Amino acid sequence: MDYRSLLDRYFSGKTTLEEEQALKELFRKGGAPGELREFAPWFRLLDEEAGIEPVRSIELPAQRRSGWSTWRNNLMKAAAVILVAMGVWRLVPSPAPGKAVAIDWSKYEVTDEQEALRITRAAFKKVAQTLQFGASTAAEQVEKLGEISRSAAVRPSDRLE
Amino acid sequence: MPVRNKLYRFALRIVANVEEAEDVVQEVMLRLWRIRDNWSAIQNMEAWCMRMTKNLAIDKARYRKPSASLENAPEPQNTGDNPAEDLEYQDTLARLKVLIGQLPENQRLVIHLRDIEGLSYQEIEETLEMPMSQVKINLFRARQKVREALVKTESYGL
Repeated sequence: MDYRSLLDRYFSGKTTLEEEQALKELFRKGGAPGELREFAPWFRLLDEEAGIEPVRSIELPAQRRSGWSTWRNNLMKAAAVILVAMGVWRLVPSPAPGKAVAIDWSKYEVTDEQEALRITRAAFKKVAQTLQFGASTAAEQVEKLGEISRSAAVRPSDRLE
Repeated sequence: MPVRNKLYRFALRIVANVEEAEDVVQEVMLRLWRIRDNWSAIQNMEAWCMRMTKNLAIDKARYRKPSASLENAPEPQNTGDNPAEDLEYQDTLARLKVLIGQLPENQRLVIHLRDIEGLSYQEIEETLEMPMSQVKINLFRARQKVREALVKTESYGL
């Protein structure tokens, strides 16, 4: 390859990225002909500059979030999941342990309209009571968490690095 | 996040100060995070980040001009078997760094994006919001200055 001509085109801004890469490789490996050595410092400088990295760690805010706020959020989420699970558990009757239960649902089939209405009302009432219980328990837990937050002596800084 | 280093080098090229360059990249990251719901609307995330870096860095640099000069150039270091030649080599590197720092802003940014970051003309056009003809002219002028400096150094030791 005629590197002198390639360099002429490079300094005239007429080379492609691939040709420029080839020139960088040539000087990086020290294989440039002697008469081109005057250009070596330039390509070495380009290599050096391309390797510069920040000293300080710089990340997206989400990657740097940690400490008290994350811990508190996770705790709140966990508490919410537990409370919902408790509510569901109370709604579902547990079968007798150790028995595989085969239920004949046909005998529970309701044919009378009034009876169906009564059963539906009772079911709604039961659900409402359970939700009420869950809500009051959740409110208590949230209040306790609030107290924990307020009583924390030192809150780690949320400052970004 | 490999693009982070690219943003940092670009910011550093503009503000010529390590801490300020890091601040600029941090600010770009924050702004990027704030608009995370609209990321899908950004066609070229890297170009967006580079543009934001350029704008923020130029704003910062306006308050303090880069102090590139021979006095601020790093001291040449002797690292090889031929101390005299090494010293000369390091001196040329230092002069080239100063030369880049003293190029007009557009030439400095274009030669940085092309020769250090390896961006295509189209990517440079998008990043700098500069017509491609201007990109090519700026690159040509910047490289001509580099060539003149190299030839002068070789011929006259300047």
